[in-house]
Amino acid sequence: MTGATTAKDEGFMQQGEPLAAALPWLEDARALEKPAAGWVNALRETGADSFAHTGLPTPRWEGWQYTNLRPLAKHKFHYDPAPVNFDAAALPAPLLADAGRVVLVNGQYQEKLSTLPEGVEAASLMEAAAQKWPGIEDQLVRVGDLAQTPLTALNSAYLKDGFVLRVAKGRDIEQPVEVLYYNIGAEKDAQAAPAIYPRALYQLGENSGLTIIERHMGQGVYLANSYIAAAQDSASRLRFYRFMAESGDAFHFSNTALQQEKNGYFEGFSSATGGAVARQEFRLLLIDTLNSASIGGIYLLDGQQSHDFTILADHFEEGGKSAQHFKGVIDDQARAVFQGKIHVRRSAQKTDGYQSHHALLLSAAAEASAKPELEIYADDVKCSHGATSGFLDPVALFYLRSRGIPVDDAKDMLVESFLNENLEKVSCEPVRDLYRAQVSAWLAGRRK
Amino acid sequence: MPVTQETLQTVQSLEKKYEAGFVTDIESEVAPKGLSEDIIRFISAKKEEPQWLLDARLKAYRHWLEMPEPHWAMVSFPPIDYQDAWYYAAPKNTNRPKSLDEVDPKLLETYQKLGIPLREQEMLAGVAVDAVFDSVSVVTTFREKLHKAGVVFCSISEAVREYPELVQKYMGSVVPYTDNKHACLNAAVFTDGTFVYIPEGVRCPMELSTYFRINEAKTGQFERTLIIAEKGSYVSYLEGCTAPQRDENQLHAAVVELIAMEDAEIKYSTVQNWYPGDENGKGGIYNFVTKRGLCKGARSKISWTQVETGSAITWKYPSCILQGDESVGEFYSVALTNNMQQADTGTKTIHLGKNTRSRIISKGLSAERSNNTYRGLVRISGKAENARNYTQCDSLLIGDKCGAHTVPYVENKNPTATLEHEASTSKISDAQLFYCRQRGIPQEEALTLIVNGFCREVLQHLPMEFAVEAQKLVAISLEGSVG
Repeated sequence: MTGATTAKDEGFMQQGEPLAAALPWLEDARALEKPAAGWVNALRETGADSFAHTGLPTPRWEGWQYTNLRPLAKHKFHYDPAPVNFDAAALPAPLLADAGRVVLVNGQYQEKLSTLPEGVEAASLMEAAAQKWPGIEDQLVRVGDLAQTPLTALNSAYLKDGFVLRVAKGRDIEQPVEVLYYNIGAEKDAQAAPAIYPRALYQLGENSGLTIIERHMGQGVYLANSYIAAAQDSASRLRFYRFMAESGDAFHFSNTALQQEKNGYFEGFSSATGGAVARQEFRLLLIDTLNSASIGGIYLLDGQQSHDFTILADHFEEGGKSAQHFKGVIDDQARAVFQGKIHVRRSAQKTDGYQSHHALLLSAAAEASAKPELEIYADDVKCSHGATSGFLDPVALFYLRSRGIPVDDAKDMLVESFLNENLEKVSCEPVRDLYRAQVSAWLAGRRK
Repeated sequence: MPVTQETLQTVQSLEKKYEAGFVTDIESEVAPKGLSEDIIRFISAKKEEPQWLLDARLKAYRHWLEMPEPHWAMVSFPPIDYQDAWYYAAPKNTNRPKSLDEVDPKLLETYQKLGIPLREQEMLAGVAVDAVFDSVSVVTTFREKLHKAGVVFCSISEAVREYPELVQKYMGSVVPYTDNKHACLNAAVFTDGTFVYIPEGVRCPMELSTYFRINEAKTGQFERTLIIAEKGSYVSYLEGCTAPQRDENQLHAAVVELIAMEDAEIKYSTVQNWYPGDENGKGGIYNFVTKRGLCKGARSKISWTQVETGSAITWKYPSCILQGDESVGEFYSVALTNNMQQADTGTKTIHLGKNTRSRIISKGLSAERSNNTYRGLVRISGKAENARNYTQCDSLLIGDKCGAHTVPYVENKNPTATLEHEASTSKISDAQLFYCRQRGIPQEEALTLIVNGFCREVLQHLPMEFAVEAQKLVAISLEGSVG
């Protein structure tokens, strides 16, 4: 299997030396106040040790060859555990009028600004740990292989901020819950900038249902490195929508891990418009039988943006279904990356897995890279993937223009219809409309 | 697939063993065991090489010492002890025979057993063969006829003597010794191989073919192939390989370099049937090969076709660098793994020129406890206007203990390029099997029928003689894997 060496051969990349600049980042972690729960401390240490060993990934690592973290070295990122001062009135208004709300500012849970529908409970991570909420230790400690995910290791080293949200057994919550991750960063050219390490856990009890709308936003320069876990008990249903619209000077890295027990249903969707360098990682673990998990997404990139969707659908047991649908538009010198993997273990017979990625390049300097991967150890499965990359269809464009539609309008129409195919997979209608509005706004912004 | 114990036993008793697994009892001359600068000097002296070649070998060897092993492939094996092998073995009594009559009859017998009747081929098939036995090229047939056409087809050591300027100019130009550890080792210790030069405007009058065979125990085979097709020429080249059945693993690290100039076309076909090891994964060849073609001129074309059924481990990525405008690269592959075999194979296609096109069709089959990985890179550079790529890789799983994996890398830096990639993984459908069986076709035959249908798209790109052989090979390699 893949080991750690430093050679570059045959063009396929592998592990390399850490970014030297990365190591001072741990300074603040060792100084954190010791928490009440022993496991928190243990996880911090594991994370710090792992990160000290690996450092930040470089393009020579398998899985990191397309996202370069070098721009991070321009700033010196520091973690500050002190409460942040901010103007609550200046926070963005909720997206949906009737939704519940959880607010985090620079990763810190704001209890006073949060309102929750009946049947949903939330607490800051440290509080939930102190009160020993059932399951959280187990669900937060399962972070996967930290040596392969150095940013998650870093997040673990700083384990303190964030929150836990739980839905009781049998409760089907109709009202969506908006989770706002608002980040306040430094001035654009500042050397020192805040590093933010939130960790969130969504716990769904047996046979419960919940809709989450995550918004990642902010201003200025900052590093938002989050770890988000969703633990679904048997027969629970989670709809998870994300708007990644971080500040244009910010760095966003999120690792979202889903664990499904039996008969779970998960529908995930994410849009990526913000961030200078960003990577959204999703790990869908279909641990028991008859689970269904789908994840979709769109990206709209321009300027010098670099965005990376890295997805793993891991089938452990029989009868699972997973789907990955990604589409995106790239303009200017932006770069888009899709790395998807379906892993079917020996015991996961009768698995259905699907993966697709389609990129539309709008400018000569735009770049799209895809690595749709299948790793299959069971024979009675159906797995396939498709990936394409190309330009706007000149015939379609000509058709529209020949009907008197101006070229820019025609282009917008084609982009909208290209993305619409994916948006239709969003089952929650008000959220689908929000995504549509986001696409229109992006296209309008481009024409200015 | 429900199979009764009885059927299983019948199948096992019928199971054909590796047919090329015999050892030829021939006296041979070997270099001392191990690898060092002295061994390299020994090889070079044995082959009476010029100084520049020795220097190149030593330079590669020094670099090799510092190079780490590649570990990114999805294969696992214990670390290779490079000192526990012989790097030069040549059958004695082969003072470059001028014609087949002078060749050691035992050698000819060997090739006969392998199904390469050199003599008959010379007479009937009209395929020119260069046979490489362990480290040394034994005989090259049909030299006269080729010579008349202006085609140079000889062993690489001969080419070093007779066409030093061509060898010096092109060897290492497509696969430099710094490329990867195995290619670097080859550059240091390569013993023989084939050299083909097609002059401008010549269409090679016959298929050229090389058979490689490892006979000696514990020897590695490091051959080097260099094919140069000048402006407007065409050549089709076939390569086949076998080795005796042995318990220890043997290393085969070859390098193949193809260069196609303007309007030239090279078609390179391989049927690889090195000894795969026994059912428990004991023995077998480590096939670590670097093959790369450069479409240097405009409108040139390189086409790779490979059928990989042998080897304990296959690590091989025949690649095309499409440098000339409107050049074309093709890759057709069937990789079949059975028992404990591991294969990590695929292609790299790098589009540099305008209007370049590539097509990749890969079919992977895994049975028993084997693992089969397709790993392929398609890269469109910023200058490759209107480049076009189509990739299709399908995997078939036979049995529930094997693995089939697909790892494509698709990189696009040009908006006018169009890339398509499709892949699927599934098992042989019960409905298809049932349909065949219902019509009185036995299970085993039905399986072969379906598998051949699955591979057809690739097999039809092989030259006729090879296509028949390949189909049989696929069937034999799969025997005993039903259920």
